[in-house]
Amino acid sequence: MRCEDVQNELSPYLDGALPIEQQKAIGSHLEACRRCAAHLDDYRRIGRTLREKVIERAPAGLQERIRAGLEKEEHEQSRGAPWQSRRFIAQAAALLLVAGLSGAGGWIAATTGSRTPPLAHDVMTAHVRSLLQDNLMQVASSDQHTVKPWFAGRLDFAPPVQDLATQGFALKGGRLDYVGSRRVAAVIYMRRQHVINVFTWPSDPSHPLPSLSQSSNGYNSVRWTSGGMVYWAVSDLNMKELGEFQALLSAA
Amino acid sequence: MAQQSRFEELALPYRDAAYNLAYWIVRNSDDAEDVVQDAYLRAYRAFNGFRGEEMRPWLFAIVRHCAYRLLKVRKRTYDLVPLDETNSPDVASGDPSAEDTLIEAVNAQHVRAALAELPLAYRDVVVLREMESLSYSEIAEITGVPIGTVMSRLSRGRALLRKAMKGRETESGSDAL
Repeated sequence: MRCEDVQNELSPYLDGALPIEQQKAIGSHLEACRRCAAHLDDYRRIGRTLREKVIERAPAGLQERIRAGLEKEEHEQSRGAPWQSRRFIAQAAALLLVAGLSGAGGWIAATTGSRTPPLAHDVMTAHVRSLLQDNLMQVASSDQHTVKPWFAGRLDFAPPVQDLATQGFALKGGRLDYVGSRRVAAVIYMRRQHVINVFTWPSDPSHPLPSLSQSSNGYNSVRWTSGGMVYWAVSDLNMKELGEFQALLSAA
Repeated sequence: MAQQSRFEELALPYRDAAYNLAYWIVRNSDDAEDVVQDAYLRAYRAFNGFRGEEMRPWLFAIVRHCAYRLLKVRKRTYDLVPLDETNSPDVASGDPSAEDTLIEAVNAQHVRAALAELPLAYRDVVVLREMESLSYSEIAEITGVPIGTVMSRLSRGRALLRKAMKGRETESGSDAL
């Protein structure tokens, strides 16, 4: 093997990540070649220094502060209703509606409280956040053949992306977001000047999510499951048109 | 309550590692601490959806997400922020050979600076592999990229670190490394 080829593979070699024949070939080259062996030794020494001398330790008291945060969360939740129940999810949405807050910022602040179920909370805040900051799209394109491949390699599933421009729902682009504890796809559509975020992730057969349509403080959302995927569309578009959008998307 | 103690039992042992990961993404200690507290709270809220997978990659993915989010929210380029001086390695530790101590100490500072300057896409992969010894597939899970990408980023990251070390060595005229 040429030194250059060996040196290019030293990192996976060090981790034992290469096929066995390649590990062996590089191993025997290293026995004969001092230069490559020294290169590998540099990697080892840098690695050891990183582990032993550069690693950061949490400041004193962090554990107590984390605990205090959890304690507060637990306390607030136990005063509220059992938010795990599905019925409560719908009720919590209604409560949000009643809250009648003026601005989206205030809405976020209010929903970080105890009574919001985690998923609905995450979906709503993800939508509002996407509007507040300049991060609505990470890939901006009206071409589904650009948006779809963009998600490949960033997610372990392929979210369906449709261009429904002829039906009045123009594809605008995509973004990665976070709902619950997982990475999800957010596909962005526009109806006139209304932004629609469609959050998509694979459904969990052991915890199926029922279809849902709810309104809270000017935002409407529709959730459904189809072809093994959960879809959750959120927008300030009216419920009727959002329903049409859902029908189009699930028919496509 | 049982839920909380179970979460603490599973997640709290990783607080140092979580802090280290957060620190090397945001590169300052106050933000790193905020990130970790935020991440633990989010992890706890999502704990219902956690069904006996590996805690560490699951938690680290949340930590990493929170750290990236903080960077984005700040809309700051951290490239101009100086290293936290108080965290410099202790030069005067009681090693028997004075020469070795000196070289080791210089090394650690150089490695530290080189890591801080590494582009973020390589930096977090290097931290997860070299400091936390996570497998390629765990790193892929945390960072949301394919294993092949983890492998090539790690290769590139290690090569860049070594190159930076060589550069510093030439500047200071030492033969270390």
